[in-house]
Amino acid sequence: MDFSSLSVVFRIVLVVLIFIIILYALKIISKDLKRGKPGKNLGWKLRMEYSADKSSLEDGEIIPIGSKLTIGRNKNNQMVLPSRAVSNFHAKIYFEDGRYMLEDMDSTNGTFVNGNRVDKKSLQPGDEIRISETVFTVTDDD
Amino acid sequence: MTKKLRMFQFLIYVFLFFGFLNLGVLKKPFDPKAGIFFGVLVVIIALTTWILKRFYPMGDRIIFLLTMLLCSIGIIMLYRLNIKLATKQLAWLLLGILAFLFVVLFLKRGLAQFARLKYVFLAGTIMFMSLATFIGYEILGAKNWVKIGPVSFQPSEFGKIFLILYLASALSNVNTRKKLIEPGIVISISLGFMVIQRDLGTALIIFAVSVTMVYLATSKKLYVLVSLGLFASGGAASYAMFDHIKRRIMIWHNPWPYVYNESYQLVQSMYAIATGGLFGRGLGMGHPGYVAVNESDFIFSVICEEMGLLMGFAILILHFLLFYRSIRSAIHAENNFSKLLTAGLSVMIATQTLVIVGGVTGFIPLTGITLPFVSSGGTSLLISFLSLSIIQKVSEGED
Repeated sequence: MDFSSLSVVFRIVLVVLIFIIILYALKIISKDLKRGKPGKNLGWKLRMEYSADKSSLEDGEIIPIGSKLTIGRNKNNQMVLPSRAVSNFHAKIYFEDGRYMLEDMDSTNGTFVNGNRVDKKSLQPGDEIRISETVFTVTDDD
Repeated sequence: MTKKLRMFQFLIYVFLFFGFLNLGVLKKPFDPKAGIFFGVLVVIIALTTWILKRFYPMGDRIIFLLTMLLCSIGIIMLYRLNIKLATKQLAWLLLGILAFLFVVLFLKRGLAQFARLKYVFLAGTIMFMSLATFIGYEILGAKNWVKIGPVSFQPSEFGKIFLILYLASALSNVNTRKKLIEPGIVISISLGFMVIQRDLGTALIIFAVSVTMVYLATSKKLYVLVSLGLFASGGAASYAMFDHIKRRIMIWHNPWPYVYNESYQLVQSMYAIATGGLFGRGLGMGHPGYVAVNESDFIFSVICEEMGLLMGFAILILHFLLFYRSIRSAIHAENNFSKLLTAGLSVMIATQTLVIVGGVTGFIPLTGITLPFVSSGGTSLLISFLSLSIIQKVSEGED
């Protein structure tokens, strides 16, 4: 028996299958459009309350923290604050064991959370972080 | 997430199953080799996904699955065309995946340390780009193949990767205009060699990748405009100087007066796509023999003929999704070198797809390059997998 004419059926099966696969892939991919990196962190953000230098970041701007955010004057930081009172590698915020941690990296002028100078502290939504003149708040809004 | 991914993986197996079942029944009584191919591919996919999941759960596993889907479509078509070629392709695929896993598993964390090797990359770029000019031989109008002992390969494929590595390290700390001079010279030299070797497709890719990387590194639109201006004048100059470029443009502009001569390949490819229609004629029912180089450059036309235009669209969509996922890992990369490298490699794969698919459909002048992951071709597949391994590595996030 010659089954080769079945190709006419198979061609439809194959095309339908590949598009089901594509739709499925899109469904998986669309998930992470809503959140930065799925499952890796809580997706908190920083809101710029007062930007001292006005050069790169504006007041009210939202900065996603991701799994790690480095702050400093050096260009290799993820958030660059060009003010002279900010150290080259001033501070970092990172996600660890289900919490966001703020760590001061031996900066000259210090990092302040809710008015207190800190070395290392876990963050809560609503906390106010001040580095030199620049002020942000931590937010968990979407 | 994991459950969804498992389902995704399962659907790929179902696709492979029907593909090879179809291939199996083309021969009477049943072709057992198709079953073997199906088994091998399923084992490869299952094993690799397991390894990726086991050792790097944070990595992007969709990238690999999308690629395997493209490779599967390619191998199904190659099996239909020529079983020997398909076997060779499967062997190269295995080698490619081994290289992929090797890089992903054994490259120690911190891709950024390779940024120091700028001049090694520079030397590699110049060497591979120029190699075929001196000891190359001609295949299908382009002098871009080199034979060393029994192995023949296209050095420009390696050249592209070295150029991207070099650009990533040279552009990662650009702050003055002066620092752009050296990369500019290297790009021009590479483009020059490609034009001499008449490898216009690769020249186009090099141009697209370089402009993208320079723009990403400097975020100045001026450079893009300047490059486009230079490209236009360079293109016009080479149009005036080289006959083969004139011929390509002529064929593209109107293929019909030269159906039996210069534009034979392009016209046959367009006929093939047209006769296929939306769903194709079915595997084994078409006449791919009329299409020249149907296993590599023109594989897209043959796929459209037998598996349908919709399958052709699917290939483009899959490439688009792959590009999206790769750029997504570039965005999450933590240093400029990894960012530029990943972006450059993904742009390379994407432009290659656009240039060849545009070429065989008569959308842009035809240039002979391979369709990444789908076309038969050892070097091309190996290079694509090596690029993919770097993208995969970056998607894990460095720390």
